[in-house]
Formats: sequence, structure tokens, C-alpha cells
Amino acid sequence: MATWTELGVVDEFPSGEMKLVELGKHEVVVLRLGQDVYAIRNSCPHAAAKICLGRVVPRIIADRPAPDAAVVEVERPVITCPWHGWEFDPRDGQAIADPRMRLKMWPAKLDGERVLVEI
Amino acid sequence: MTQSSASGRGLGRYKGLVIDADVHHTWPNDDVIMEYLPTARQAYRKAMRGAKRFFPGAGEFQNPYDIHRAEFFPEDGSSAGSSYDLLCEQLLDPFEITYAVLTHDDATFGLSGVRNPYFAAELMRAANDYTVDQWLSRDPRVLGSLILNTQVPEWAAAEVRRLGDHPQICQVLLAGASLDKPYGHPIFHPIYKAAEEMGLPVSLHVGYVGGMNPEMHAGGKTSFYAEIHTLWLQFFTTNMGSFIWHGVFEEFPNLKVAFVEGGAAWVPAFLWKLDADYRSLRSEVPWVKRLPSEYFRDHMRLTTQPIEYSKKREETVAVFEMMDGKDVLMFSSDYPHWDSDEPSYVASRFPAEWHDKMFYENAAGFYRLPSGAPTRATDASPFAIQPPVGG
Repeated sequence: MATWTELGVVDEFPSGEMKLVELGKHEVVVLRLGQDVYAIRNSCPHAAAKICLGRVVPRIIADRPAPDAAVVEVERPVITCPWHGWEFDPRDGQAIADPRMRLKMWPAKLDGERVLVEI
Repeated sequence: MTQSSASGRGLGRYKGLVIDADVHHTWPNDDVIMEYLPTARQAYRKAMRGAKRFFPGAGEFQNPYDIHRAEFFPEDGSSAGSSYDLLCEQLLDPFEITYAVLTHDDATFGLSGVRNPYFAAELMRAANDYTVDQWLSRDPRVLGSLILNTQVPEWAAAEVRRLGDHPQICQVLLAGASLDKPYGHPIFHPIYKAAEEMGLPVSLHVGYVGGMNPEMHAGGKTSFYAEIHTLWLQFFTTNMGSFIWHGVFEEFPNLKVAFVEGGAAWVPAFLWKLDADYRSLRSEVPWVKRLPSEYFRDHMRLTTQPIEYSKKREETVAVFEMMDGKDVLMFSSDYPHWDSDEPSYVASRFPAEWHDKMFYENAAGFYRLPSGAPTRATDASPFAIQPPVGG
């Protein structure tokens, strides 16, 4: 039965950075983006690389192929896999380039200063 | 072909409509095409001494048995593919071809390789005017391709707009990429803008090298006809990737592209690779918004000849199932080339439930043709078919 478990306090998780927390048999990658917090299984769905070794980078999009068409979405960063560069949306774990693939995620939230995950 | 011609249609159990997506035509001799060149160019050419070869490349690689089958030459010794009567006798009538898409011939594929860009542009217009005048006007079953000199894409786009609204012009045809760039490059986008405006799809045909045209394969210059004939797929892998990575189908969402005479069995593995690299490298090409395999299925088609066959039919079918072959393959005979495929030969290699799509529906959708067969050339109007539906 899933229960809410405290992973630490908010100051231990700088916004925009991933941090690995071991919780029993689970390796939980915690990413805080401002007041939002995400808990991700430390395994890429592609080749099982450790996601915690990846990066959180701005999302780059473009409406069309043209000079200066590419723009950065600072408010919607992506997690990149350290091995093959797959990009994932931390909000739902979905791969940017292939919606059929996604990171395993657990519900997570801030409760005051506490960071909680439901596993 | 002539074997089945003598005994009937030769399509086995398939009794439906047939579009032949690759039928090569040309002019009987160079005096004929001269008449379609500007007056000054005619005078200049007539005053020339020595060799008057129009196109580079032709003949550089020689099939020891000729690239045209012996029985496809007219008795008067003119070029194979230059006789409408012979086309009717050998292909259109015996196989009851509903539409035959004329795709010019090997020499004309050197058009973009002609070093003089002004002459190349004049030859482009001459080849297209000749096609309309001498072929399309004779038979509504015969559809034309606008072959382009791509050295100056704006001139090529103008050619698309000049003749693209002819009711029997069904596509734009590109061969060697003269600017040493594959065809997804934005320098060619004026051509696709014009094609989209005119409601025409684009076909890439393998073409002759030489002059301004680059090699059609990577890794160095080859030595033999056998080599280039087996490597044509490289021309298409390069260009298929180029169309994807440059986001051509985002820029021109109604554009369709076919790859003609380069086989198709290489497609599944190439799509795997394209998709894999897109998942990893998307941020370099952020205008690419979908998996390459999705663009392929929505925008690209391939003709059958010279399609690859395993000795085991089920292996062949399994490969083409991996690329949704039932939905993306378009029958082509490649008449009058040496390795032409009879419809019956192709039909026998694929499941019967694929035939309606492979022999007609896929091509009809690609060329935006009306459903049903056209009326015959003996009707009052030589253009009895309805113009393609745009959009």
C-alpha cells in the first residue's frame, strides 16, 4: 500500500537540480522546480541508464526551420538521459521525441518545508 | 513484358485498376527536342561543329546489354521510350494500364548537371513542352511529370507554376541534386512552395551523375555500372533523411514525396535509425516535431521497381510489412528499361489483399487522381480526365 514518505526538507533540494535519494529498494531522483517537486525512478526507459547522472536543461523548440526560429522555454525544462540524450518532461515523465516512452514517476509534493513522495 | 503481353494482362487474380508510376519516355532523336528550344539556342546549336551532346553523364556508366530492353526500341532505330504507339502496344493496352506516369529518361535526368544554367533551364522547358505536346495530348491515360533543372531553384519553381495546372501533369520530378546539397536543404524550398501551391507531389528519381550533378552515393567514386545500380538506395537514404531533418513537412504540410527506382527494402532499418537519432538529437533540429517514421507514413511513398526480393516470399512480405508496405508502395514497371517488372511479377510477390492499394489506391492518393478510370483518347476532349483535387 502506497504511503507518503518524507525524503528531506526543501533546502536539501535546490530548484532545477536532480538529487538521488535511496528509499528502501527504490532509487528516487528528486527534482524540485520552484514549488513543484517530482519523484522519478532512477532508470531511463530506453537502456536503463541512471537518470540522476543526466542534466536538467532548457527545452528548445521551433515553429519552423528558419534562422532564429528556435526559442528556449525556460519555464519548461527537460531532463536529459546521460547516455543517449533522450529528453523527458519532468511533469509527467513523457519523452519529448516519442510520447510512447516515459519515465516511471511517483507522486510527490511539498508539505510546508517537507518533501514527500508516495511510494 | 512482351511474354505476358501476348497472353493477356498477366495480372493473375488481380483485376483492378493499375497506375504505373514510372514509365520512361524520351524524344526519338535530338532534332525533335531542338524544335522546342528558343530560336537563338537552335541557331547556336545548329552552328556548332563537333559533338553536340545535350547532357553530361549519359553513357559514363554503361550497362553491357544496354539499359533498355532490345524489344522496346522502335524499328526505325529511334530511342527506346520515344514511341507512343509502341508504349500502347507493349504496356498500356496489354496490361490495361489505367494511368501511366511518364518520368522522362536517363539522359534527361542529367538536366541539372548541364553546366550552362541558362541552357539547362531552356532544356527543362523544352522537355516539359515536348511532353505536353507530343504525349499528354494524345491519351488521357498518360500523365506527365515536370522535370526540373534545380541549379536555380527559383527558375525551377517558375516552371512548376508555368505548367503545373495542366490537368495531366501529376507531379514534379527531381533527379540529381546539382547544388551538391540533398533536397531537404532550404535552398530548394521554393520548388516545394510552388509544388504545394499547384497541388502537385514531388518525386525523386535516381539520375545520372556528371557535370554539375554529384555522385548518388557516398564513400568515393565507383567503377562499374553494377556498383552504381546497387547503390542507388544511398541517394534516397540521403534525401529521405534530408527531408526529415530540415523539417520540410513542417514547412510544407501538404507536400508528398515519392522515391522512384531505388528499391524499398532498406526503408524499415533506415526508419529505425532515423527514429533512434531523433529521440536522442531532437534539440539540434527542434522544428522536427514528430518521429521520422510518422513523417514517412504521412508524406512519403516508394515505387516498386526494382524492388528487392528474397527467395522466400514470406521473408519479402515480412520486410515490407515493417514499413506498412501495403500503404506506401506504388507499382511501377520502369518500362522500357532492361530490368522492367511486369505487373504479374510484382503481384505474385505480395499478398492479394495488398494489390488494390499497391496497384492503384496508393498512387491515386499520391497523385490526387480522381477515382475510376479515365475515358479513352478517342473522346472529343483529349483531356477527359478531371484535374487533380488539390489540398
